Amino acid sequence: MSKEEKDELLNRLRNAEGKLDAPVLPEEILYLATKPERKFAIRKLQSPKLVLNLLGGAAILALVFIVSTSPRDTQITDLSFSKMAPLYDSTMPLEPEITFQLTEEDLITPRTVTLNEYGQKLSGGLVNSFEADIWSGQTEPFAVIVIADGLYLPREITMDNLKQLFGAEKIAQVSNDVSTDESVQAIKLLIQTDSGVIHPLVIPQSDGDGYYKDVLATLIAQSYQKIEF
Amino acid sequence: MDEQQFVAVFRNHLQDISRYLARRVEKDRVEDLASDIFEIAWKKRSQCPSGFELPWLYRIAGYVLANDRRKAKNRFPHLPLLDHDQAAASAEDIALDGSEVAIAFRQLSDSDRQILTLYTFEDLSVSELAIALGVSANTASQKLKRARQRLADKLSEILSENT
Repeated sequence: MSKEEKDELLNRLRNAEGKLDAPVLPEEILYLATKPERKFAIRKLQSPKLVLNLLGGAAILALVFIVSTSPRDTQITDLSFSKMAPLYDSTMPLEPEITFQLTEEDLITPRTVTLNEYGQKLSGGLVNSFEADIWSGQTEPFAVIVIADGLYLPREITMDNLKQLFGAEKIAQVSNDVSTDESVQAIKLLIQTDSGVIHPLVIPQSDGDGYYKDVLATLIAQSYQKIEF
Repeated sequence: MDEQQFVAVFRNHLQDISRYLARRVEKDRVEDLASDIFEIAWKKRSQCPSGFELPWLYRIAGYVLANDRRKAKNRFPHLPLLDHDQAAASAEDIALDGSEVAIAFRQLSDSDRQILTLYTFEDLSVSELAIALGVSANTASQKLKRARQRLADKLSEILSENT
């Protein structure tokens, strides 16, 4: 007896689905996947969007460079982690013990630091291997925002910095979403790259309440400030 | 895993991925997104858990889909766009009939729809759900149980209103 037959409710749901019109995928997709440079040439080089993306990326890079190199006081923050419980992924290190310093240059990073290195550093080594692998090779500039019971910005970065990077309207949109969303029960480190790809590190409260509180008490309290609206 | 082995392993899952995507995006986007999914799968093939290739692909597909939806909206991402729930079949995307259970399903949260869709339509087991969602098997089981209960509750509400 199948699991659907055992469960009348889910069987009814399954039967409610209409005819699914899924295209037949050619096996060539698999061969092309093993040669991404060929796929890029075939699928993307002909697209005018590429030119726009490159121009946009260059513009944001220039902006990040200006922001990150402008003279200002750079505050150093010590951040310690010790004996944290593993998160929801068995591939995480069990007892990361990392002491590090964050500077504003870390928060809006140059290309010399990969997203993986930075994410590991920021989270005290508690990035799961799947995420870390996705982050590997990402060297575009990025900034980090933490969302827990509200919106937190690193102490070293100001709202003005953020507005310069992303625009006041977008920040207002995020702020509004965060402050009105009652479902925010997890810490989320949002890392925005200049190509617009989002790399979230999500720590669900329900999956690790102790760890959630630990991170709130350390990373949030020591390195971030809650933004009031 | 070399190219021939990669093709041999994932050949059988081409249509699974096509159906997964067809439930969530326009038909003309399916091949492009599938191409992205398999490209990532090739790059990360050393991490593919043996015997769990399909749920592992679904997990990658979830990330690809979430990024695609965010790009489509063309605005600064905010909370609902940030986690894996964005890979859920949306109420608009999935083609359900007008039955009460379909109406109840549409009223569920993204995360509930996601896990029910993976379990019911993508036909994953609980251990496969765990791989696809990136959680423990116990957590996957609990999430599925709660989602199913909320579907049942919604359905009861709808049926009682109708009567």
